[in-house]
Amino acid sequence: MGRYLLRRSALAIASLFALTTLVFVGVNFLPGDPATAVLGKSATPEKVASIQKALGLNKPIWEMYTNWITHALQLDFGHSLTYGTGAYGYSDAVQGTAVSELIGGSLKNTAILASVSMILLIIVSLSLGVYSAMHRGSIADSGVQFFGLFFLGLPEFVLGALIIIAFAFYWPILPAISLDVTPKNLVLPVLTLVLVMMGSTVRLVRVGVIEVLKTNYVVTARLRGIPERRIIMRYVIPNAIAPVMQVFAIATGLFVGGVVVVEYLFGYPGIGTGFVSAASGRDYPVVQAYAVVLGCTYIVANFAVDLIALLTNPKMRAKATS
Amino acid sequence: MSSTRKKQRFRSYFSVTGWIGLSMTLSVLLIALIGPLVTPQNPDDLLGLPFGVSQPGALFGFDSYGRDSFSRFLAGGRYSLVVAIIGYLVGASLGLTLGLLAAYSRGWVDAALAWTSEVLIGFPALVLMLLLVAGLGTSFWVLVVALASVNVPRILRIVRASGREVRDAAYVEVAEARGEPRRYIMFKEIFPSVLPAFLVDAGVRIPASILLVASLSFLGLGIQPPASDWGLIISENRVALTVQPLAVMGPIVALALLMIGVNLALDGFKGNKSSYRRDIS
Repeated sequence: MGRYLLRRSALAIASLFALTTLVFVGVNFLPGDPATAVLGKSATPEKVASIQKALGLNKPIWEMYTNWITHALQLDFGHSLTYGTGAYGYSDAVQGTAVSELIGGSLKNTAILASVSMILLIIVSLSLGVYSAMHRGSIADSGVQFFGLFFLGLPEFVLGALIIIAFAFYWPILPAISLDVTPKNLVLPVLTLVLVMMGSTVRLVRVGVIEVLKTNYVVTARLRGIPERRIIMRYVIPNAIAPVMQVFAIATGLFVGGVVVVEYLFGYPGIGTGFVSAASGRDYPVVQAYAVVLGCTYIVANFAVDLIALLTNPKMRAKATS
Repeated sequence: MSSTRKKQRFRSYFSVTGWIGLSMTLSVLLIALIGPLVTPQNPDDLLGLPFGVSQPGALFGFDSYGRDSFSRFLAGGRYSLVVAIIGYLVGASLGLTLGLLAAYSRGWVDAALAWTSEVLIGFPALVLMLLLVAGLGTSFWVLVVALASVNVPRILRIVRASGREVRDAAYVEVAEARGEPRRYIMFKEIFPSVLPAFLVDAGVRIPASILLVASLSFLGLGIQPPASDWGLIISENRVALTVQPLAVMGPIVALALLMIGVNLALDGFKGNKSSYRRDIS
């Protein structure tokens, strides 16, 4: 178990390191000078030089990198190039709004949207998936399967636009855009996210549970005449936790991308919208910060899921020890 | 006689819903490819009021600038499709070669490739692409490279996993004993048994690539205006979804049909189901 933990932690740390390196390289060393790019037509040699100095572009690579990392570890991602009265696009002043300040509020909004959607997604896919698995081959099962095919892999902006047309145009009961965070504004974005993700998660949960139902120990338990309810509680659920957790761990990758798209579609003030507008405006310090935050969420979520799977499942524990 | 047999063999690849799905997919691809050639109006011309409603000669009404929505829909499928397919092909050839290399070599080459791909898969696909596009711009080749960098590690992982199953097989040992070069063993001995998994993966990954490119242009970081593109059309007209929903109907229906068609086709595919594992990461 110790070895597995060590391996898994090493992978998580390597991923975090690769993430920060990629974010850094992606923004600083790709062709095109960030200072010129952000200034666009208003670029003068003095302005370019002052941005380059502020971003530390005149220092050696390694110094820049360690500088950025040490500051990032303290949640200091520098200052925005486009937001705030002191931003470079608007005046010659040195600094725009601090990136951490920009991100703080949107991070909270996204956390609300993401956690509500994720909790709903888990509840819905667990109940539908387990129910389909228990009643394999029934009409309800085929119905859920077929229904799921329609949402599997459908892009968020397509389903979201359909949902907006349905609930804000043909049957106008909910707002089409969600510029601030109220329960009513959350309904449609959450619905979009849950429906898009459900297509795959319900199917995968169903497969995971069916695999457990087929095992010899469940068959034996049935032959011994143990009541079905007890079989499910005692044998099926504990063994299905690991594969089912894995489903949601893999789904977080899609989920992160989905949140970005859904936020942008509904105009929701979260990190997705912020990330996209920073990327379009080439606001490099902000892009870096958002990419790190999004990437970290995913890496940490995956790591946590693996740990929980390890702790809750005796078989995994045994495998990891050997 | 021979035509009946041919029909039977044809039918046996897919179930009925599978055939329906396949034809849905192919018709969307067809529209995307030949659409730009048959637009009734010039898709860039301002012909009506912004968000003007449907009228004779403008089936889907007008878009945010007053351009003909139907013509823009017809013109808007090809670019993303071409970027996605080239991005997939670049990623697939690299991923396949590196995956076979990892499967066949042992030791540090395998370990390095496996770890690198594992780490790269650790990035959400869309975030990785956004990051590259933010740094490099939105030109055609940047989009291709960004998409390829999403696909390479995922294809590598699948090829490596199924290649490892046969690398100890007797026929590989025989080929080694004959003194065949590594390239020969990788592509002539190991590749055939990797092929089914690779093709099933392609069936999922090509449409997923199309949707990733479409998502990028929806976010305004793919093809740039005034070009016409399905993702961009939905993005440009999203403020008027409740006023002129017809402006986005074409792209929405096409993208939905594409994905539902692919799902039905894969679900109804009667080939080797054991290697059919849907990888949603």
